[in-house]
Amino acid sequence: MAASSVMQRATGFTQFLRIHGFSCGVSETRMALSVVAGGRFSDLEAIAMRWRIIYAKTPQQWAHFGTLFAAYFKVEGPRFRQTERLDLEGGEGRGHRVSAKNPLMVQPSARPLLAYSPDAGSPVSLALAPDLDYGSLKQWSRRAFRRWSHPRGIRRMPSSGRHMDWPKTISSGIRHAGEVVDWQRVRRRPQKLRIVLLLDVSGSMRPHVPFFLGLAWLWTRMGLRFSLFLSSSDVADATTALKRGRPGGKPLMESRALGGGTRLGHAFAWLWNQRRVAFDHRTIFLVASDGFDQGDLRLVMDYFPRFAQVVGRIVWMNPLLLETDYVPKAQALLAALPYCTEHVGVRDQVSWVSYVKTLIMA
Amino acid sequence: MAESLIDEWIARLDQVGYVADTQVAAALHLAVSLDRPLLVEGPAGVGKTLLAQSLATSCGRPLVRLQCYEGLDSTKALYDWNYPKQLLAARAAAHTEFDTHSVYTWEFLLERPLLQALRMDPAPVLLIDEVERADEEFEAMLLEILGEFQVSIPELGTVEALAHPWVILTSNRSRDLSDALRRRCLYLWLDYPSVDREMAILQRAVPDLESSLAQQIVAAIRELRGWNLLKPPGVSESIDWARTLSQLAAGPLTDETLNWTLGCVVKTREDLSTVERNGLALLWRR
Repeated sequence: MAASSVMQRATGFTQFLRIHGFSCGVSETRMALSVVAGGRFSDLEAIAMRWRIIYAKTPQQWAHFGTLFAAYFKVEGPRFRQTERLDLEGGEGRGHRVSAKNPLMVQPSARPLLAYSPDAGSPVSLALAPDLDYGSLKQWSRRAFRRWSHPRGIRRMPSSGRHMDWPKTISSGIRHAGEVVDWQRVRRRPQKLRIVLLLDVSGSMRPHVPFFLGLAWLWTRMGLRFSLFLSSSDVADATTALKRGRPGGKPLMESRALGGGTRLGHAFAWLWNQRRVAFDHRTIFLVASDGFDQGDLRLVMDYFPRFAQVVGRIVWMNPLLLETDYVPKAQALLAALPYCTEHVGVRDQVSWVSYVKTLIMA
Repeated sequence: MAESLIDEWIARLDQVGYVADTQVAAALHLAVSLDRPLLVEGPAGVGKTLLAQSLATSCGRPLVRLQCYEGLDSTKALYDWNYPKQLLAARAAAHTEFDTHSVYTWEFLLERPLLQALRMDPAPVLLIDEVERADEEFEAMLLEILGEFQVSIPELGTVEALAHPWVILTSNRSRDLSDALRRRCLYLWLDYPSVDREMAILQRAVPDLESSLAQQIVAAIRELRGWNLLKPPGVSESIDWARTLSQLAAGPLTDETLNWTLGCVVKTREDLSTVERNGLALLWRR
């Protein structure tokens, strides 16, 4: 393909990437065009290598760029649209949507671009619940944050600290020479709440995952520091994917990538070793899991107490706690519970609101 | 023509001991030619910091390094006023007419790494290392520098770069960076190297290393990376291991010898127990 032809399609390619979750704008298109205009390229691979550096902004985008580039520039033959494909089927379904299960509709080249599909056999959908009352959840979440950051019985700290701010005092003294010295104190840094949610997405949590993802999505839009980690056999940081998701939209990622079992101990160890920076005294560490762990129990016993020492509060949200006659028996849960600030039953909107009410009343 | 430019970059980096592939060379070429900061992400120990150092050495530019950490703010990264000096100046002028503005000049300003990088001529390579360790507020402060290559100092006005520095930001992804910061940068994902590249790196770093031993080390390291360890070994770990084994290679490499040296590549107790559980024979095939 000639460079001029590539230039003509670059604008369309940017649009194409946006559809697939890339946050690229005019500046990226201009850079991409300037790269093509600046040199003669022997093949499309050389262009793809350079454009990947310009367009991709995250490791996930970096990994998918090659597939998207190939899907856009290297499709052999006509690029079918849905209507065109209906025509090819002899007008049989003109005006009707073809079922998503129809294998004819799935282009092999586009398959890696699809997120989780319930028809593909994956056990847990990592999509956000579309039918939650987000307005009400927002209000109740705000109350929970307020209570978490200022628990009852702990007096609010004044805005100024105990230590003198000598640079400011001197600076002020110089500016207002001859006047009474204004002793400046170091301002306390606002205690900005940080929430880390570890969500168990193994098969036993299947009915509750969409609610927790919806709640987490809401929290990313409430101006607090929030991180979401998904745990099954493996652990993944889903914060970025969550920010770009929307209720009723595509799933955050393929749950198959995380494996099928539950290894909470591995998740705690991974968080401690790889994401230690997210945990300090301002952190509220939420664990949403039923506690059925198939991994190494020693890891839970070794790492979970470390979190208890550094974070402000640990809340274990266990959906099974709402069942009548439920008694925690899972070994991982029993090992972790002594270090939890709260063990609460949360699995949907009603139980979340109920928990916040008890939190306020406590 | 475009390919030859990439080859030039590879050769240039090779001269200073950095074994680059075409993707790395293309990223540096674009960062320099498009005048954009380059954000390099990847696992720990794959050579992100070394890339910036090699860029500076290969192009004969000075390197200004800012190591990020939690609590880093503008007074440590950008500039601060020299208050003792201001006080002394004020005292010295106590009996004469004293103009407050006279102590808010360049003479009383302490330049920190970011401001230094903007005011250096020739422009340096500015390495902002492990940017994710700094707070979100610091990230916001960086936006003006990365986007416009300028800094606003209320007392002095806007300071523009004399010549745009080549900026490399590195991140180990222990925290997600903001979209605004990512938008201002080109991006390079630096993953573990391929077998051939890792062999070349080992042979550059440890010239005395036998080829067969290097192959075994690379194979073992790749095996370890597939074991889902808490801290998978990076390139720097494989170089450390190669150095150690190279010194021990005069005698036979027994299991006991290998066990001694595992500390070069395995960094936590849990990972060590994983290696013990899987067995050394699986790792080191003779």
